[in-house]
Amino acid sequence: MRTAERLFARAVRLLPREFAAEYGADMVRTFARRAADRRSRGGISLLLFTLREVAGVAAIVILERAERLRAIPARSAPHRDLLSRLEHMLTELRHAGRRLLRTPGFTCAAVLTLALAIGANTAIFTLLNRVVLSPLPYGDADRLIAVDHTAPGVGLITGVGISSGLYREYGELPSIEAIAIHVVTETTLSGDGAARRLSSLYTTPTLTDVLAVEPALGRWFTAEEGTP
Amino acid sequence: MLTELSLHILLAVGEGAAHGYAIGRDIEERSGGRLDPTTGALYQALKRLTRDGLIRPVGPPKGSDVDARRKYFALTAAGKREVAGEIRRLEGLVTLARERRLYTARAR
Repeated sequence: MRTAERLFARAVRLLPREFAAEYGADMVRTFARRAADRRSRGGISLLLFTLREVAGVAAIVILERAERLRAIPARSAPHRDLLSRLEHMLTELRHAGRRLLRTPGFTCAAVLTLALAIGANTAIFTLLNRVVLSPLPYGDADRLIAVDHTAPGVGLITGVGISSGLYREYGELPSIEAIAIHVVTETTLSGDGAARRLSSLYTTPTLTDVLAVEPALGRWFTAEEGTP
Repeated sequence: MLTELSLHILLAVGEGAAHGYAIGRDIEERSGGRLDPTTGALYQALKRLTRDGLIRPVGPPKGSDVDARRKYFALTAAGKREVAGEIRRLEGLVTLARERRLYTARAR
């Protein structure tokens, strides 16, 4: 038996016992003939057909089981109302699915709209999450400021850098509690084994005071080590 | 009142006993692909029609293209009456729609 037939036969086994006993084998034979028709049209056609057929059996499993429960008096089947609602939902879902398949243009537009909307929402949430909900993981994050120098006159929008004099000047301002400089870069680590490219940071020893963090491993640089 | 699928099944077996595959194929072809029931839906309808006595399982008919392992279904007398009743009902609706000028296509 081929995979498609095996899958279908497995789904058929979920049908109520009498249904499967009476029609199961015949259903599998009918499916095999219909699948053979699709097989000649290509693998995708067969795959879609098999998925639809298995879903079809699953729907019948639910409908048949719901019907059997409906036959039981209400007192002994408190889930009857829920089941009829479920059945209704299933019918609606199938109806919706069929309509979507019949209007591929509309379906594409709807899926695209949804994708764009979900994408935009995710982007906005990411931003809000970073800024408002869970800001930077440093102590007093709302008091942290990043200072950047620009020189628009010569076309430098960002990253002009800072001189040592200006650094001292800033540190003595009354509104500044601590100040640190950092430059993000990449360094090659060589020694034992193959050389590795690591992301690294040049900074002043004051960085831990500014961010109110401690190194996870080892010790941080002392102020003396930062003196030129 | 019959569902559309049930009516199509009764029409399909009206020509003579047929098995599930042939019934499904007949429905798909006659409806121009509009109705294409899954195997599950087809057999659920066949089971219900059998329970209601509108069709009955029969032995394979004589002929060359016969698979003895398959279940064949044939229209019962009650099934014939049901088809006639259903078509009469549809006819009544068509007449009504014509009278109200909601349906202007001519009968073929």
